[in-house]
Amino acid sequence: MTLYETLFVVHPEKGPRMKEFIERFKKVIEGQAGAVSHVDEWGLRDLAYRIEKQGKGFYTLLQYRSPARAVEELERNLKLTDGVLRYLTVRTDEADAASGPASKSSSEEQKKPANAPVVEQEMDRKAE
Amino acid sequence: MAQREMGARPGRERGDDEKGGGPRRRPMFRRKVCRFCADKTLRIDYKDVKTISQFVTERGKMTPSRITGNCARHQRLLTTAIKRARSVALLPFTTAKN
Repeated sequence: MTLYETLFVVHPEKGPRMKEFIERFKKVIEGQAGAVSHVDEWGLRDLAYRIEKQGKGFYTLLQYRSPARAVEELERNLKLTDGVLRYLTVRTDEADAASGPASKSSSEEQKKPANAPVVEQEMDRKAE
Repeated sequence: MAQREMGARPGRERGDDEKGGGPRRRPMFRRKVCRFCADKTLRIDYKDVKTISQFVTERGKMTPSRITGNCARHQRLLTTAIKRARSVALLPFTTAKN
């Protein structure tokens, strides 16, 4: 069992389905005896370059402890899922995991408040 | 510093610099310290765009450690971090034309 994190970027028009995506990928990890420890939604961010003609994307970070085959399975799913623009899986150090989320949140904080409401609004619209 | 040396140059013969120049050349520079060695709490993380983009030029190229003063180890870590960040569009590969 190793600590991994996967960052994936979703097409901006698939924003309303974000929660659904996250749930699905969480289930994939859990289905392979993995445990998701942290889900971090960065919300809609500008891309550094255009991907599939899009200038923005929804970023989500999953941190989990799992055997290697969970990563294989998750990446296979990400590849198959429409609307996933990019993904990146990285093995994380145990030491960094403790300090990582805390230090990162400070740098990400200023983006979050602006973006989080947008996601929720869109979620509501979908529900109606 | 450098300017004074330049001024002295025209009077000297070609090749003089290399041969006799023991005590003359003193290119005084401030010792650069690796920022990540100086502050142990600082982590190199591909997700931390703010920190990492300090080591990238406006064009998106990585700054050489010669200029930033990073030590070899941290420059290496930085390199992987920048490349990771690029692959998920957190950092640009280039900004040549947009």
